[in-house]
Amino acid sequence: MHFDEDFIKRCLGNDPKAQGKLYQHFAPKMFGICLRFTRNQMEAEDILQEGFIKIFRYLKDYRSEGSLEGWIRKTIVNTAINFYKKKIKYQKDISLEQSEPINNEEENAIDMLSAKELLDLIHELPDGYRMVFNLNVIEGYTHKEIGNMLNISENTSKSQLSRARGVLQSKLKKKVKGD
Amino acid sequence: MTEENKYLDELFQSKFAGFEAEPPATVWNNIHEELHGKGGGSVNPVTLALLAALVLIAGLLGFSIIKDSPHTTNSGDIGDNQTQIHFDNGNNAGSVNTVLIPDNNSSVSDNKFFAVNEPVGIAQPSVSVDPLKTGNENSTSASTPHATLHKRYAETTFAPAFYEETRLAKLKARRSFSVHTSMMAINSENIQVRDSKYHPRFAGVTDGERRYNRRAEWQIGLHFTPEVIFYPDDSIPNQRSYTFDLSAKWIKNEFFIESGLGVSFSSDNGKYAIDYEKYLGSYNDVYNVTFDSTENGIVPIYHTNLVDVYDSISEFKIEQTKNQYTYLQIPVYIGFHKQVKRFGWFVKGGPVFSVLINKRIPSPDVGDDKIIDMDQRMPLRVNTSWQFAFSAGVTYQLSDKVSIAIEPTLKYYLNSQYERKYITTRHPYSFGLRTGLLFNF
Repeated sequence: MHFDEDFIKRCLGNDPKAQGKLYQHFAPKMFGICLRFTRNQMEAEDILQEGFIKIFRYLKDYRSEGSLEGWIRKTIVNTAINFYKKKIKYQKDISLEQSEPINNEEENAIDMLSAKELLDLIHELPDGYRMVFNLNVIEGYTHKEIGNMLNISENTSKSQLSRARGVLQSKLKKKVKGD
Repeated sequence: MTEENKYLDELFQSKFAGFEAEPPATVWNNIHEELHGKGGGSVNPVTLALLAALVLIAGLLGFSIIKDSPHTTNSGDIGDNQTQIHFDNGNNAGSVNTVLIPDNNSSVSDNKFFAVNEPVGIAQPSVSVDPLKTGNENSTSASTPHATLHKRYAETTFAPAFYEETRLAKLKARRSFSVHTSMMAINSENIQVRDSKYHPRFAGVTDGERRYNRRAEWQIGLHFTPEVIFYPDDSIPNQRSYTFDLSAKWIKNEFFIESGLGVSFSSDNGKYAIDYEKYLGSYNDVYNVTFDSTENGIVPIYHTNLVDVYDSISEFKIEQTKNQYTYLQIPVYIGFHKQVKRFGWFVKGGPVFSVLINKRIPSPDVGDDKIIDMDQRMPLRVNTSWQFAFSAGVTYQLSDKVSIAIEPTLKYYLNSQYERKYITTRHPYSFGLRTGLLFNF
C-alpha cells in the first residue's frame, strides 16, 4: 500500500479516517516489534500506544525521501528504548550457566520452533540483554549506536549481547530437550 | 563471530523477519481518544452517574405513588379508624353496597360513620345471619341488613377491649358472612375489605406479628463499610477502603431495589525513583569587585551571589509516598428480604459504579538535594471502575421506624482500579462488612 503526500497531509490534519488507515496497516508489524522488546503483552500495548501517538504528532518530521515504514519502525523502537532506559540502569547481571554447544540433532528441533515460542524465550531475558539482542541482532544497530541509545559503553553492549546469546542458547537447548 | 552465534542470530532473524501480531482494539481506541478526545457529546462521568441515580430514584418514587393510589372505593374519605366493606351484589352489576364501620372510639349513632348505599327499588332482605353467633343463635327476622349490621356493630362498639382483640378475626369471619335477601344474594366471596390501618398485606397475621412484620414501602439507610481489596496476581499488600453511604430502598413484597450514593476513601503506597545530587553547602561567589574611596583610603566592595554546592556524583534513592484517593460509588442492587418478628435477613446483588473524584499524591521530600531525574514508580489509578457486589445480611428492628443492619459483602471488580502496567491483576476482589441504620417510611 502506498501512502502518498496527500495521505500524510490528511494524517497531519488530524483526519481520524486517515490516521485509522495508517494504524491498521502498520500496527500488526509494529506490535510484533513491541512484543520482542518487552516482557509481556501489556507492556507491548503501552509502547505501541505511546509510539503511535508520537507518530501522529511528529509525522511532520518525516521526510518523504525515506520509507515511511522505516521511520515508523524507528519511532517505535525509540519509544521502546525510552520505556526501558531507566529500568535497565539498575539491573544487575545474572549469573550464567555454561552450556554445551548446540549439536545437529538439536539444531533440527530448534528450527521447528515457531516465532511465538522464540518470543517466549526472549521475554524471559533480562531487560538489558533483551534490548541489546533485539537492537543488534534483529534491528541491525552497531554496538556503538546501541551504546549511544542506551547510554552504555560499547563494551557493555557487547558483553550484554554475549550474555543474551548464552542465555538464549541455554534456554533453547532446555526447550528442545524438554520437548 | 562463532558459528554457533551466527546460527542463533540467523534463527531469530529468519523467524522474526515478517513477524506480526494483532494488537487489541483498545490500543487504537486509546490512541484515538488521546488525539481527538472522547467522542462527541461526552459527559462528565460523575454528572452521568448522578443523573442516572436521580432518574432511578425518581422512577421508583413515581411507581410507588401510582401503585399506592386507591382503586376500590368511591366513598370518598375513609377515616383512620374506619373499615370499609364493599358488597358486590352479584346479579346487579354496578350496584355496590358500602358500609363504613366505626372504630371503638367512635359513636355508632353518629351517622356520618355509618352508611349503607343501596340501589333504589331493591327490596330489603328478610333474613340476616350473624357470623359472630352460632348457627342456633342466628334467627330469622324482618330486620334489614342495615339494621342487623347496625345492631352488631353497636355491640362491638361498646366492648372496646373485645373489639381490639378480635377485630381481625371478625374481619376474617365477615368474609363468610352472607345476607339472604328476597331479590338478591350477596356473594360472600366478593366482599372486599379495605382498612387504612389493616393493609391486606397484613391480613391473616396476628396483631403481634403485624407489629413486627410491618415492612416499609421505602427505607433510607445510612451505612459504613470497611473493606479489604485483594490483588491475587500481584505481590502488593491488600488494600483497605472505608465507605460511607446513603441508600434508598424500595420494597415490594419480599423483593426490593436499592440504590444510593457512597463516598469511599482508600490509600496506597507509591514510589519515586530519584536521581539526585547531594547538597553539600553553599558559598558566596564574588562576581564583581568595585572600589570606593573613603577618608581612610580605597575600600574594595565585593558583589557576591550565593551559590549552592552539590556532590558531583549523582545518587539514587527510592522515596515512599502515601497516596490518598476518594471515590464516588453508585450501586444498584436487586434483593430478596424476609422478616420474622424483629429479625430479618436478606440477599442482594448488583453492579457498583465507582468514579475517582479526588486524589492526593504528595511530592517526595528531597530537602536541599538537587533532583536530576525523577521517575514515578507508583501504581496509578484509573478514573472509573465497575464492580459486581453480592451480599447477605441480617436486620434487627429496634422500633417501627428504625432497624439496624449488618451485611458481609463480596465484590468482584470487573476492571481493576489500577492501570495495568503497575498492577497486573485484572479482576481484584474484596470483602467488606457493611453496617448501618435503616429508617422505615
